[in-house]
Parts: sequence; structure tokens; C-alpha cells
Amino acid sequence: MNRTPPENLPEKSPSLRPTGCRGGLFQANLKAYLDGETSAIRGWLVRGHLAQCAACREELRWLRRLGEDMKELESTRPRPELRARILASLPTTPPAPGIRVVHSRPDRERAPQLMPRLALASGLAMVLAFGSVFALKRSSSAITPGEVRNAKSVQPDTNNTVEASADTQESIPKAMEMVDYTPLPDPNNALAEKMFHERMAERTQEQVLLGQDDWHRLMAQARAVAHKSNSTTPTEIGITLAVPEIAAVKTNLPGWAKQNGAELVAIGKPASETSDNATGLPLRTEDPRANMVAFYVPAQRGPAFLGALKHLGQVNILPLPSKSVASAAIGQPASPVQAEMNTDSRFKAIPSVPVASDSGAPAERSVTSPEKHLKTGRYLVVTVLLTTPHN
Amino acid sequence: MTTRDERQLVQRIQAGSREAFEELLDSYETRVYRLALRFTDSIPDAEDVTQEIFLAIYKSLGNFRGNSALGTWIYRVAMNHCLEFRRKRRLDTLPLDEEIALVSQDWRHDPVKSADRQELAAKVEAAINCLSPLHRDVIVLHELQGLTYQEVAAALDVPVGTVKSRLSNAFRRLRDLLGGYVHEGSPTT
Repeated sequence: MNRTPPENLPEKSPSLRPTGCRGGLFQANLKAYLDGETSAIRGWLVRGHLAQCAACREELRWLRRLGEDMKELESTRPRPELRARILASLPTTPPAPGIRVVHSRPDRERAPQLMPRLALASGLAMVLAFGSVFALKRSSSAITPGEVRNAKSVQPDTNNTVEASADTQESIPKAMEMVDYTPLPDPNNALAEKMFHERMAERTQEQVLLGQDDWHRLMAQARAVAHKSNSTTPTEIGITLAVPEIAAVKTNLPGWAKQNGAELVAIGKPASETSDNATGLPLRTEDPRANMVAFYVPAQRGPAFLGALKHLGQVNILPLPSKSVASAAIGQPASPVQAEMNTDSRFKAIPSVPVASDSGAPAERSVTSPEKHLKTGRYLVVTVLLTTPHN
Repeated sequence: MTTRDERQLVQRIQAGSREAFEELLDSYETRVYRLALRFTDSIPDAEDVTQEIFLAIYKSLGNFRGNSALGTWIYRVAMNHCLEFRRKRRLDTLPLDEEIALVSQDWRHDPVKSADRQELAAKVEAAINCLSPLHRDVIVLHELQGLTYQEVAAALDVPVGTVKSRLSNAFRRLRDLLGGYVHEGSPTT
């Protein structure tokens, strides 16, 4: 890590300064650069960009100034009575050592067991019934590539479940990382902002963590719910998930998909709000750098594929109106990215996406350059279209 | 406080030393209280949550193995309580105007602060309060509490990269909310 904050920013003649910066990726790294939290090479790239971009230099100064101002906000001190209250509340016995701490990994593994099945069904039903965009959420317990290698099947750990109550931090829900597809509210509309926050709080109740064992149950539930809502049995199930570390799929997404019985058919940026509404697909994210990825997966390969996917992120399921609509929705090309940012070696091994045809494939597949997008994505938004084979 | 000092402090607390726990309070009470105040927007609630946090810390110190820094562990416990508070509380129990008014109280009662700075602080506070919870959390922990990215990541149980992206997005949002006000009106001293 380059921990040295930038002190002397390179300056250019004012007459040469551009009025704006098209390097959104650099802007996205300015905060980390200011905090000395970029890697050495990224810091070098940002610094090089700053030498040429007056807009980003200005942005950096703004960030620094706002950060300084915010640090001055915290002047509150607790009342002296609070100390007495805390001390009076302590038990007379000293804290007993030796109680096993429940760490995050067992907690993560038991998460599916703790998730009420009924809640999952009702959450799915609610999404389907009201036709709302299904917000994808990912467990805060991030799965690292190392853990993927050592992944094992989900097993309930009743001992840990019992002991969790002895450990305060493990007995409380963790913070969620959420990839939100809801359009952000108008910043000038306080009511819309407040409603947005309320909606986000409610959605934490909908989160599900799926594993291979959940596949058949989810397929059955999704079909049952869809049957209730519109009397149509879906033949396709869409799955979206966020992949914060594409390195987890060994940097070869098409090959990885093929290996797991799926076909990678499209990679693109989240589509417009219009197509979002038209398809029901959750295609919008707060992060404009997010990428959409679509797979076709035969239904019979669903369990195995889902089992592989579960190592990449948290999965939510929703029915799709049609495969072609979904494919068209994610096929919007992204804006050009900065070539300088393509130095991230994790993404270099990804070849072009083969556009193969199969019996259920739509006529048009808009496949954008995967290399370009994957190199820059903080995470991917993956859409999996699971088709029922035509017998 | 060095790692060795922390270990000794924990051992003394585990041995039943109230004085040792008061030393821990000396180091973390204000920080935890400020964190709780950020999540509760209410002094009584912040005091209650702070008390709960330190009670939980005391009870759980027997489990502390020193695998992480004591401060990181304390923030993790504190964040879990704060997030739990947020989860339980209905967001509509406190009118938005009241939230914004609350945050500027300290400035109003501080004669040293100029009117401009009070106004600026109120605007920044209001903007922070307009952030989504995820963005607000990283702003509070990193900018206001002074935690490093690594410490924020540990407190929120997310990858460091997530902290980076959230901070970047949070500042982008703050820029939208604040416009040019901070840039033009903020003193640099």
C-alpha cells in the first residue's frame, strides 16, 4: 500500500486545464489516493492523471477540504454520568475467559440454516406479487479466493448456534453490503430520500443466502409463487448476484461457466431504467462501474451451477419474462474505459466471449467486450437464465 | 496503546480489575459514544447504546484472544450494536428536520465557532444524514472516527475494497448534495 498522502500536486498552466474530466475511474480512486490507500501502481497512475487533469486536482482539493471539515464535526463528549452508569451496570464477576468465540466463518456457514424457509418464500412472493425490482444483497461475510478453494458444503453447527448467544458480536446481524438497483432519489427531495432509506431498511429482511441444497426448493417456490400470481409456470429463472472479486472465478469467466455447465452469453453495463422496468431485471446499481453478466444454464445443471455460484456471492432469484428480453436488457455497451486502468492483472486472462447458438437462445445477443469491462469492474452483476429443456 | 499494553489491560480486566476497565473507558468511551450518537441521533439513546456496548465488551472480554487489535474488536462490537439499533428502530420515528437540528447543537453552544462555520457544519451534517446507511457508516467510521480502511473493513465485516468504493461513492454523493458550498466557503485552516 502506498500510505504516503500526496502533498505536492503537480500543477499545469491554467490555460491548459480542461473544464471537465472524462476519467471517471480516476475520480473514483481519488479518495483512496488522498487517504494513501491505493496500491503503488494505482497511486502512480492517479498521480500521473492528476498532472494532466485540472478537474481531478480540483476534485482532490475538494475531497481534502471536506474531509478536514468533517473531522471537526465530532466535538461531542459524553456526560460524566455515563461513566458511572456503565460502571454500575457491570456484573460483579469478572469476565470469564474460555468461552469459545464464534468466528465469522461458522457464522456464515450457519446462515442458511438460520434463514427461515418461510421468510424466503414470503420474500420471493412479495417480489413477484408486486413486480418490484429484486434488490440483490450480498452477505457482509465476504468469501475470499482462499476460502473458495477450501469451500465445503454447508453444514449446520448447532454448537456454534448455541454459543453465539455468549458472544455479543456474533449474535447480532452483520452489516450488509448491498448492491442496490433502485434508482437513487432526487437529492433535492427529502421525502423521497427518506422513503428510499426506509425501503432499504425493509429490504434487509429479504436477503437470502443460497447453496446447492436450496436449488430444488427455490425452483419449486418460484414456480409456485409465479403460478399464484399470474397462472403461468415459468420456464426460466433469473439469478443475479454481485461478484466483488472476479478473481474468484480464476479470471476466465467463459471457461469457468463452461466448466460448470453454463454458457456465458453476454457481458455489459446495466441498462437503462426503461429496460429495467420492462424486464423486471435488477439492472441498476449505485456503482456505475458494475458489470452485468448473463449465463444460460440448463435446468438440470442448475444445482451444480448454483453450488459453484454460491462461492461468488449471495444469490437472489426471480422469474424472467423471457430470455430474449433479458439478454437485450443487459446488452447495452458500456462507455469506453480508461486504458490506464487496465493494468489490473486479475482481469487480463479473460478471452472474448464466444457467441454460440443453442435451441433456446434468442436471435440477437449483444455481447460487449468482456475484457474491457471486467478489467474495470469493482464487481460483476451476474444474471443467470436457467432454462427448462424442451423435451 | 501498544499491543502489549492492550494485552496486559485485557488480562487485568479479566482478572476483575475495575480500574483497568476504567482505563479502557478512558480510551474508548468518547469514541464509542460519538459513534452511538451518530446512529441514534439522540443523546439518551446514545447513552443507552454506549452502556450496552461496554457491558457487552466487558462480558465478552473473556473471549478476546488478541487476534485483532483491541480497538478493532471494540469497534466491531460497537458497530454490531449500532446496526442492531438501526435495524430495530423505525426510521420514521424521528422527523428528518429534527435529525438535522440535533447535529448542529454542539456548534450552536460553542462560542468559539463562527457563524459561517456553524452554517457549514450544519450543511455538512445534513448532507451526511442524507447519505444511504451504507455510505454514512463508512463516512462516520473513517472520516469522523478516524479509522483506517482496514479498521473500517473489520468493523463492518466487509472487504477493504468495499470500503474504498463506498467512500468514493459517498463523497460523490456528498458532492452532489453540497454542491460548491464546501469548496467555496470552507476555511482551510
